[in-house]
Amino acid sequence: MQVDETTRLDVEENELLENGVRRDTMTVNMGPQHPSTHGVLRLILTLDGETIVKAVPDIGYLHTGIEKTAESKSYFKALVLTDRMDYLAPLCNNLAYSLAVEKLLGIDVPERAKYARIILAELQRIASHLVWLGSSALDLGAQSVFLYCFRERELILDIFELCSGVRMMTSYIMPGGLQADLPPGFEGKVRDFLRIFPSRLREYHDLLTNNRLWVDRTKGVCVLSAEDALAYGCTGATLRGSGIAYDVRKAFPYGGYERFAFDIPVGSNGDVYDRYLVRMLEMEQSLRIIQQALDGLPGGAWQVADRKIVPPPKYEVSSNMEALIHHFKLYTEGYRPPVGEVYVRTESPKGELGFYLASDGGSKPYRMHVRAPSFANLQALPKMIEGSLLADVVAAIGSIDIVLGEVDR
Amino acid sequence: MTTDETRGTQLENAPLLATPVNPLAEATVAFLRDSFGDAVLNVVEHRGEVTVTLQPDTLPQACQALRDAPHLRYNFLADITAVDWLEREPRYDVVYHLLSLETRAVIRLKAQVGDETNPDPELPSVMGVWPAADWYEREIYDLFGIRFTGRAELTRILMPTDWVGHPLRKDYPLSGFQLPDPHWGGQAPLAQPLPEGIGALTLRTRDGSEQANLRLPDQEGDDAGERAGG
Repeated sequence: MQVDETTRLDVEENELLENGVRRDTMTVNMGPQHPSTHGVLRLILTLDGETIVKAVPDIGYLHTGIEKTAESKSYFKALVLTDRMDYLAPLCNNLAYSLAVEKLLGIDVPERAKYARIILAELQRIASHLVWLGSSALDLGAQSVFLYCFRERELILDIFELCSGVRMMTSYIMPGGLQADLPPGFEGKVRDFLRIFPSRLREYHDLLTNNRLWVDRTKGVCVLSAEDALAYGCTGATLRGSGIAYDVRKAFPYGGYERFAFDIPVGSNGDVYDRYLVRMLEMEQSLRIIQQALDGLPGGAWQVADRKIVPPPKYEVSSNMEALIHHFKLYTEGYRPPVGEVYVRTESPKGELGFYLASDGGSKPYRMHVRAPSFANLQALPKMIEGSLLADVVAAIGSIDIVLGEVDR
Repeated sequence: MTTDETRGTQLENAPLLATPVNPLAEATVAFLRDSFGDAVLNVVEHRGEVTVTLQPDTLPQACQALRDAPHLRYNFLADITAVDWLEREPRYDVVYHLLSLETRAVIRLKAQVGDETNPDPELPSVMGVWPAADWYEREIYDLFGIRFTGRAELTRILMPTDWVGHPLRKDYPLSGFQLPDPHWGGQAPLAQPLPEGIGALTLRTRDGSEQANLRLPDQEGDDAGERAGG
């Protein structure tokens, strides 16, 4: 490389002036195409050497206007938009949206639907945590974990495919119940998973939890104090890793969670390692919930009987005039919840996922707002990384588990 | 269930949803009425959720008081959003969802702002009470054009910095409008004055000259559009 004489002179002068250390900050862009920003996140980092002085997240690269689009869809059709926000946990989004619409309508769903929803949402939580575990470990150089996690995630996606025919954007949970009854073989597949997964979870623990390299890269790194986590509106494992035991499933039980016994893992240091451990232990608790829900899974209806909310079955449409009218009305116009507004909070794998729906009495949501957990958690990122080393930024981003589809919506 | 007789769907067979009682919401309303009297404009309960409408100017003080009240301790701002009721006066609802992790109290606060003469209304910020309000307020400014006063700089967050208009307003055109020409997608063209916002950090240095690594070949006959757009 050719060295510019004038530049070299400048550097030498600086060194002389400042006792051998050149004090100057430098601004670099991390992202939006950086592989470990987990999507299209751009961080504008001001560096002093390798230390981060200031970090400004720049979001909006994946802004798809889902909230605006929902205003021109009927409640029935806006469901499919919710899959595409947190695309690693579509069933949890479906569940939150369905609960909000049901609350707006003032209806309750049958027992079988409640249990099935909880089984599916907890499977989804494990699947989402597996992607988080694999990708955040990959960011820090542990490649084999990534492959193992995706191997187990396939087992869960197979169950979703069995239910809905789709692996990811299922829209299987809908306002009023489920799109279809749980298929034959569902229970067997879930029980297989329950049998296989605990040993696999131990494998991940063996690979990482006491691994010297992993502990060195995560313990005491990018600490977020409990006060800061609370002040910045963090939820989920980001809040619990800092020592605050807030889990919506316990604090404000929804959809039948109050019937199941499970614990909330809580960290104490608020570092990357604690957030990691909280999620690892959460997967075990999800297994407990699935086991209980599967054992108690009742038979019977899996949708409300009201044909104004859920479409009639196909065989009725072809033989019954009234069913045909209901079918036509639902798909063309939809139902009209009464005037009012509701906010429903649920615990998605990332934290508190809230749906705010305002109805003007029409068949389309007058306003749908999504309180995305990743949006709030990302807000606390500068607080975590300012003062730490550049190399720890990837550890911090991995540890708050953001999905940009949800941040930008 | 309560239905709006004129517009709501009449449900036939659906079981009714049981809404849990929220005793602390009543205490919250009583506390607000005691402390702020006339500033409490309206209290509505719907599906077990209590909404208190407040004078916009008293909002930060009310939030501060709710956060510090020993029997309520609303220490967590869950969400802020807005609704544009185009034909109504005042036009916008700004909606705050508060929560106490200690007492499990939940309340929704609402401030109504904006009228026909003032399409870009202002509202005092609650960032001093909960730092979490920062991004929510920026989002509302970006998508609704409601300005928040008494806080750090208010810039767009989701839309490009040079975007014109506020997309979640109900009168925002859904189709058939022109983007400013030429549209740079958030990147400030080098020849034009820089809009406020994040671009200032990376495209130009403090004295206004282009940063060396972003300087493009300055050739005769190569027009600005091709250079910056390529």
